[in-house]
Amino acid sequence: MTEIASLAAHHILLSAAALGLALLIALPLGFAAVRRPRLAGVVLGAAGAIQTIPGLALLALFYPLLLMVGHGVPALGFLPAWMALTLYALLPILRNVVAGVRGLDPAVMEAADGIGMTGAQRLRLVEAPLAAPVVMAGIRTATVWTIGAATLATTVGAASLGNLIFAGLQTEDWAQVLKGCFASATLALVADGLLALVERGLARRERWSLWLGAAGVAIGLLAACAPLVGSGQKTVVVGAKNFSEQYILARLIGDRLEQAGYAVSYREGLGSAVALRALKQGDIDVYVDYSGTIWADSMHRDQPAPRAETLAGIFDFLKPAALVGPLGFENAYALAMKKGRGIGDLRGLAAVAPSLRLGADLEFLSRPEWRAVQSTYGLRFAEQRAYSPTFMYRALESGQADVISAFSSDGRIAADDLAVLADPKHALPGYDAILLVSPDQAQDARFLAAVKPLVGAIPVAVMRQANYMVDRDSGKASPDQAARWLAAHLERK
Amino acid sequence: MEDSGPEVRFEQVTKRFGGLAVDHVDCTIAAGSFVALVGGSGAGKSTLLRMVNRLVEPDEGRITIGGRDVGEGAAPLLRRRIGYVFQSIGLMPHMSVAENIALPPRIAGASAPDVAELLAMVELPADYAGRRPDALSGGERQRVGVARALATGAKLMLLDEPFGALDPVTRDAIGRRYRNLHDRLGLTSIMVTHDMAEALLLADRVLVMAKGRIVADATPTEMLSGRAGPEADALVAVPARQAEAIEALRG
Repeated sequence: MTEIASLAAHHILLSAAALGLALLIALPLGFAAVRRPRLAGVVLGAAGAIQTIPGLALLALFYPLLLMVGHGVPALGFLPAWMALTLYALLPILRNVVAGVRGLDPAVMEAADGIGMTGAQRLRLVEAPLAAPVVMAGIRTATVWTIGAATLATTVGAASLGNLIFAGLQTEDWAQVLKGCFASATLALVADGLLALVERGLARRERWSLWLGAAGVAIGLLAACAPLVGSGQKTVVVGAKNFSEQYILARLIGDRLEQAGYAVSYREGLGSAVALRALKQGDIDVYVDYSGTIWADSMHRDQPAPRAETLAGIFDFLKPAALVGPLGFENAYALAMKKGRGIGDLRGLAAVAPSLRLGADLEFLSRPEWRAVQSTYGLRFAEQRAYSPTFMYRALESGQADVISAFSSDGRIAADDLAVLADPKHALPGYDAILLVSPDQAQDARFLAAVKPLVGAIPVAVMRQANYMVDRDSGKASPDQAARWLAAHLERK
Repeated sequence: MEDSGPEVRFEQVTKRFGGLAVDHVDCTIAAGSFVALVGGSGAGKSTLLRMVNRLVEPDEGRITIGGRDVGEGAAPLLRRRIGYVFQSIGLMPHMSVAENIALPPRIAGASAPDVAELLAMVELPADYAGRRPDALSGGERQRVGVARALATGAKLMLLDEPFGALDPVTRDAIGRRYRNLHDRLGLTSIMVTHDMAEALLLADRVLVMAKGRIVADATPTEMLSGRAGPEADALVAVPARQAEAIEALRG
């Protein structure tokens, strides 16, 4: 409940900031455009074009744009979300300002001119008050859109009620998805209702309804600010990519930091490249990545190297951010099969492979890992087929496939009691889970002391079980619960 | 209130909207007079009137009010010295009657007018001050429009079909009331109307316009006696015939 309240507060403040900025832009621009048809055409056209960009894409576009700006401008988090949502809110406000003023009684406008009003007087005394109800209707539309679109801010690392939706989607926790949807829909309805009161107050010149609506909006904003002040603790940000293991590890790290006295917030559902860059910029303070990912994707090395060399290379590459250490398990590509077939490693597999069928996930057969394994061990299968992950495990279970590609920390390996084949020639690159901290925290002994006990403390079997708690179809645990279970099963050094 | 309204002089005033709307008009309207501008639709009478307070800017020629060129200075400042009453009135729907009447002095930064006295001038009860325009009848609304035009103490009134949208009874009454005000306050009034009867009954002098030019310029008496030319005769003939017909019905 406290999490939902805090996310709702962030959601409200983000939406309010976006609407506030949109109003600052759209009101003057709209009133200026009323009597300038060419400006109106350009402005409305541009705002309309922005509206056709899907909300998610608009948010995503601000990430590279802000990266280009550089100079320590954060490319993730509040800023890109604020800017994208602001652009999104412009159109309904602009359109209603222009329509509202153009729709005014021509007689009233002629009277305003005829009695000698200047342009500014006409705006203040006639156009603004008379167009106010129509403008307010536009602001209501913008508000509902913005509150809805703000759920997407999660993807660029700004906290919102979308955190619940995206985390729930990744871990297939539909109750959580519904919770997020319901909360953001409620927020939109309440905001719309309050603004409807304001609109009614303006249209019918009913002061009580105007003030009631305005007071409701003010109270909502103040309540949203409340969680932000108060504690005075420094908030640290734990990052997570977009799959179950990452959500669990983020909570595990976050819980430890909270015990160490930190206020913790989460940026979850980050893309791989985004997460590392966010860490280097200090937008997130800590997260878990995988050695092979950084080696290949960020450092652009095409040959795997021995584990120690890889870790040392990454350590140097990350500076001034820091690699605290490996957690003790890998989430690597591996080949797995049912136990009890007398095959222990890939060398053994190569001997019998021509009579076996390989089931692979959709990506594996086109990845360098597969080519490396194939050439190193001379693997030839009787048949190879690609499946979506769920069906791949079913295929193995039903005997349609004998060998499958798997992620070594996948919970289903434990659940289906599979054997992961060893790789004695090290053809597959290592994907050690490694704990990374931002440049600032790398200098902070207290922070490091809080997270360091996790290094080397998570055996792959324990991680698999924790993942399975979240991934299984029935009796699902939340990432929070799995993290607590994991904390109780850490290896003591 | 002792000094009379200003003289208005048109010198070669011309306006084109595609074709010639007002065609080199020369005319002097005497200080304190009540002049009606009549003519068919598109004759240019409204355009001529609206050039006086620069709601329309002339293409050629100049207009002076009391010897001062209207083109000098900013248009809003000019308009604040001229009362403007038009057919669709244009009361501010979000303001009370009192606020509407006080609006011209308010925007000019002048002291607040005596709303009760202005309401009395247009023969509306003082308690109308707090009402909204939408609570008034059409005739009452136009009387508020007249009060608003008088609120700055302007001595020149421009009236563009001011009573055209009112029913005949109201129209007759409000027209006569306005004429009394004109005399009492010593105004200069220029009224556009397409109703020759109204023009004949209210004005000191009638200007007939056709195709952007003034084709007749005469007093009502001269108009009725057929000394104002064929265009004027054609316009006068209608109300004259109606009056005769009504007389005949009476037997």
